[in-house]
Amino acid sequence: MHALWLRLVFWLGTLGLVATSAAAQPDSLLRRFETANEAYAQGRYERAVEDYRAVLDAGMASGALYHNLGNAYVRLDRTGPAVWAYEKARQLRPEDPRLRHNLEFVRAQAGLTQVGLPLRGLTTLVGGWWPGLLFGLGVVALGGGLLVAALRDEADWWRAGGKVRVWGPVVAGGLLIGGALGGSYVQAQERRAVVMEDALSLRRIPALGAAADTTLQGGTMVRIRGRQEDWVRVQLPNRITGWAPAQALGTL
Amino acid sequence: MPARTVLFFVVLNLLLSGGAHGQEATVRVTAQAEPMTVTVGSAVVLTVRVEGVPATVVRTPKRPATVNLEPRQQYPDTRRTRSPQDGTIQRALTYSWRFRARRAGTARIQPVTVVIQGKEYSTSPIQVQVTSPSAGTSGPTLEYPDSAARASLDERDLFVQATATTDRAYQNEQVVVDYRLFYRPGIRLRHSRLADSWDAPGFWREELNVASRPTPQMQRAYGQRYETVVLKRVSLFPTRPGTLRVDPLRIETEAQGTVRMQQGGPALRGRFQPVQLASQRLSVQVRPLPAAAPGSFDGTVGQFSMSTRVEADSAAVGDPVSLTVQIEGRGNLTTLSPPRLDSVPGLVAYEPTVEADLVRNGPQLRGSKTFTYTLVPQAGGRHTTPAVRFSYFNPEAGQYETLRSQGTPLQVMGTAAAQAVGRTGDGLPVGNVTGLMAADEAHWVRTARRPLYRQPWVYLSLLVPILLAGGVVVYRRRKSPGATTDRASQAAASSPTAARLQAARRRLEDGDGAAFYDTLKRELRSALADRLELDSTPRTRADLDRHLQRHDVPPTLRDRVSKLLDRCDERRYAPSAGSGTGERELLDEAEALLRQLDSHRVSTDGSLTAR
Repeated sequence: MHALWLRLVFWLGTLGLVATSAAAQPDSLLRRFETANEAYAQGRYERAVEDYRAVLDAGMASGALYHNLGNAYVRLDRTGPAVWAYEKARQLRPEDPRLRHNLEFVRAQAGLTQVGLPLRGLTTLVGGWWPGLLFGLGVVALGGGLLVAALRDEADWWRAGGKVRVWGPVVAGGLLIGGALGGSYVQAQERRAVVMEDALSLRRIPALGAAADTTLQGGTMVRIRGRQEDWVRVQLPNRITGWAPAQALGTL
Repeated sequence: MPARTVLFFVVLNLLLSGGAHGQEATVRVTAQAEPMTVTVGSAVVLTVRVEGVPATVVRTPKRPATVNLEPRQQYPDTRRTRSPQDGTIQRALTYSWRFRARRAGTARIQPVTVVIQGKEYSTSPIQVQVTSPSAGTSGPTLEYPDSAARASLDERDLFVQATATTDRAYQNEQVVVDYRLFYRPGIRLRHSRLADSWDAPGFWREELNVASRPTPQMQRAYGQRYETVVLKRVSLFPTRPGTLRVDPLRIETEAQGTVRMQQGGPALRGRFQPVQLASQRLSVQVRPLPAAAPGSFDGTVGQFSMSTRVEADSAAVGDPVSLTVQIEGRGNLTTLSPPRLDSVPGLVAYEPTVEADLVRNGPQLRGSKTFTYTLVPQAGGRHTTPAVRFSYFNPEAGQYETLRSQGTPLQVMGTAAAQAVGRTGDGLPVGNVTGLMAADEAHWVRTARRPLYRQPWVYLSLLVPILLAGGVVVYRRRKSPGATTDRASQAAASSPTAARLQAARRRLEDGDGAAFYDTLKRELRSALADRLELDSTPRTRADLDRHLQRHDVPPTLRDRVSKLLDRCDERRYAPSAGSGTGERELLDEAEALLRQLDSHRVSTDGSLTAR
């Protein structure tokens, strides 16, 4: 019994330490973010990029972080990474006009005619869904319906429209949960990437010595259609496909 | 015989025998066909060359047998040539026949036998490859649209030759293709025109100028003299790697040649006959540009130079200053994009105006392109105009080259322009990215997020509502074990009762009061008759009461039945305007009454007893 108590105290202590360090993490990252902003303001763009990326490497991100990282890449004249960062920011802040403006600016400056990569197929329908929100609403509706069914067992209540009040939320909850999981799956299949290098040759087969059919400009957006070791099979909006080294692409 | 005389004969004999041996050793008979690869319908010329003997001792050979080649003449054309070799004049005699390739595959020319002073010399057999006309690069062709016309000319008399400056090029490298008409002297042409559209898929094309009334030039080809004119010249820029093909140039014309009525006879001028000429198809192997291109490279390939000029060395804030960048050279100038300017604080650069001056009269496309940028100073002080970088790929050197132009000082007078200048209506900067987002705008999320459907907690969380509802049920059963059972049994018991009064309930929901009371009264009497196991519903209230009494129904219940029926009668004829609360109470009372009656069972002797 004594050993059981000791074990419980040990695990609770460990949990507390982990929780404390996790809670402290955002503060240090915030400081790093502000340091990066200061470096940018001083014109030390390489340093700013390093600090922004350090925050990303720590596992945290935000639309503001990606936006500022994109700005730093623009100052360094690196079109591909700038487009990648702005597109990442748009995933977190889809309605922000500043991101749209910056993307248009960097693409115009680089002479990129591509304005983006439009969604296709089912992704057009579910692209804007928030699966987490739908799933949460579905679970609440399902739980509410089942809870009411468990609490109300009077025959008269069931006869006086009780079935609708129970099965309505249950069915709606099920649909929401199904939609959330299905939408999440479809969204995950739509994998896109940005050419990070200034010029990237698409090859017929995944090998450096293979014939190159097309040369892509940095910042061009492509769809990912497959992967083989360190090579990625990509598709252009005009349906042309080819292989590119994975490290030359920034996935969105 | 004197010794001197013997020596003379020996020397003479040696000289004669040596001369004879020397003569045999120098005789050489060879045969060759040209070209060795032809398209169907094209001409093949077989030439037999005899060297080392005078023409008078050679018997004219017979035309050799052939496979897949159609002979165009019975007797050979004969030529005698003399050429210096090793200090002596080497004589040669040639015999040539013309054949036409019949079908795709292999054609064969059997050995030719030449008889020289009674001795036979045979050549080796020759194989010629015959390809279909669409099989890629091949020789020029000549066809007579009128199949019945007598062919007096062939591909060696009149043809269109296509030549490219190179058959291996980099992507976007200039390849100049010439289409040149060759015709033998004496052949007249008229009414020439393009027979078909010409295309070069995969190339960006720029036409170069050729003379509209050209003067023919003399040129040798296939060992003969021709007059030639350039029909078309075009600069091609391959837009993608791989093997790209250039269509043949096809023209229609009317040609007048000469004919000979007999071998060695006078040449007579024939009629003008329509002919179709086609050049060979060209193919170009296009290599992709090497990797690791500079950042300012935008696909330009060729040889270029760059010059920049700023129109002023001082300006006021807000006044435009022109920066002119001129790029000159050879290459794909048409698709050349404006070079990049480095970003300079305090100076806003606007998109340039572009002027192109292309020279198309030379052997390849060259010229210049001028970009005029407008710079607008945003603040006073000493600025430096943007540096210009222009990168291109030099195919001759096989490497990227970058031209740089340093900025020049620009003195700007005045104060900073108003903030509104250079911003859109939404407050977004023109020609620049927006400012940094502050930390308070950052809403942090985890980066390594898996999609929802791959999160295990999602499926575990589905158990929560199910477990919650199950827990409530279990809790309630444990808290009052009998309650649920009683309610369940009540519900079960009330089910037939409720079904019995279903019609009355519907009337109530319809809001039809009179019909409700009628129906309730009728169904109640009917239900009582069923429970009392009567064959028919009692007609009067007294009959009903008597049956109830006979089945030992307690007086209190009998009294409630009577009162309920009375209330139905009263309200049937004097309905109260209300929300139906009274009707619902009456319905509930009827159900309760029937349930209480059901709590008694009919005994075997017909009496109702408490259960």
